[in-house]
Amino acid sequence: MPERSHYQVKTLTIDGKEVCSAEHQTILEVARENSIDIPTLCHFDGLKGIGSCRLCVVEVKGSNKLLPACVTQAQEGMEVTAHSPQLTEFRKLIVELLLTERNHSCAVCVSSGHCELQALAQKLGVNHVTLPYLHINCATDGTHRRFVADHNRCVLCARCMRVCDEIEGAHTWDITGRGINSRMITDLGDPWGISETCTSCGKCISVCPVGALVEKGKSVSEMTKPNFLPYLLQMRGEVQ
Amino acid sequence: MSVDYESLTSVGSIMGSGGMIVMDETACMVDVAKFFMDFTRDESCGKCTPCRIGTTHLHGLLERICNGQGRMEDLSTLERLGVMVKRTALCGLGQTAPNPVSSTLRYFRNEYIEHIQNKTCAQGRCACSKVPAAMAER
Repeated sequence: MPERSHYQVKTLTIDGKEVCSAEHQTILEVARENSIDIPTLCHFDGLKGIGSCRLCVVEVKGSNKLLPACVTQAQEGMEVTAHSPQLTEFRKLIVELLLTERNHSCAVCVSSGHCELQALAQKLGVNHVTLPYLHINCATDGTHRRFVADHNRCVLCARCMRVCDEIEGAHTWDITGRGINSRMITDLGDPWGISETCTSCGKCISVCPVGALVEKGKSVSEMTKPNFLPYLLQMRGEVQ
Repeated sequence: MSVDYESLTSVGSIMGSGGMIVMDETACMVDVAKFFMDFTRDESCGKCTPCRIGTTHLHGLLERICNGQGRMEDLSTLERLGVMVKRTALCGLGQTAPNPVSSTLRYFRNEYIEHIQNKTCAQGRCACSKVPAAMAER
């Protein structure tokens, strides 16, 4: 009997294209390796997936539920549909929901032009908001010496919380409240500036997809985020 | 009808969690849908986008209709949004949250239309029936 390899390669199809997956790869990882673009917002390379934004949901043959590509492992023989008119419609509506939730005014945003929500709206062709604006009133926390948290621009992707917990190990950020009243908080709701756990490392700033967490002193469109992954991999010793 | 999984599924309902509720004709179905959306909006944990914001919008649209400020296009928005929340939400709460809206729209669409076009609630449950017709004009 031939010896079984420990490294199992799985074959599956995504949008009709035959692709290969290594052990423990998610559908999203396999798709991106094969130049199949699946939109994401909460996903961030190097952080644990939480599948919360639901933009990456895909159809898998045999499942009556849509599955988030970012946290669903590729399986042998899977038939994945990542793009269909209905999925595009759902994705557009999700972006529209995010645009109505808080005050995403690109014209006055420091991240305009470097914003993932704005880029998603552009890419998916969201050019009108048809639902009523909720514009829930959130606080802006400018108490930190170097950074500002404008919760009116937050999309609750929880990247800041995950990077602070998983990489920095401080877990300064967390979520309070529930439903539409969910908010990101520092420590137990204390102002960021008096947080005892925050190390002011700035990782949350670099992973925030929108203009919610930014450096102080930036004007409209001036906030660019550094490419975080190479730094992250270097820290983990995966790249020299 | 017998109360078991198969019989309830065959009529589009679910066992448990209030899958079957008996009401008489004095209930306003738009008001009933609004009541359930208020519940799910309140119970939503907020983790996934469709449920967190979608249930809030569904409730808001129903409230608008109950107040006599609804528009006919709100019905298609309710359906479109309902399908999206149902299909994309992360957990069972979000995946079933729009059911009261979609089933009342399917079986009692005339009540919705009455609220929107005549700005009246035949059962007198909604705010629009308590506003004089002249004041309900947009």
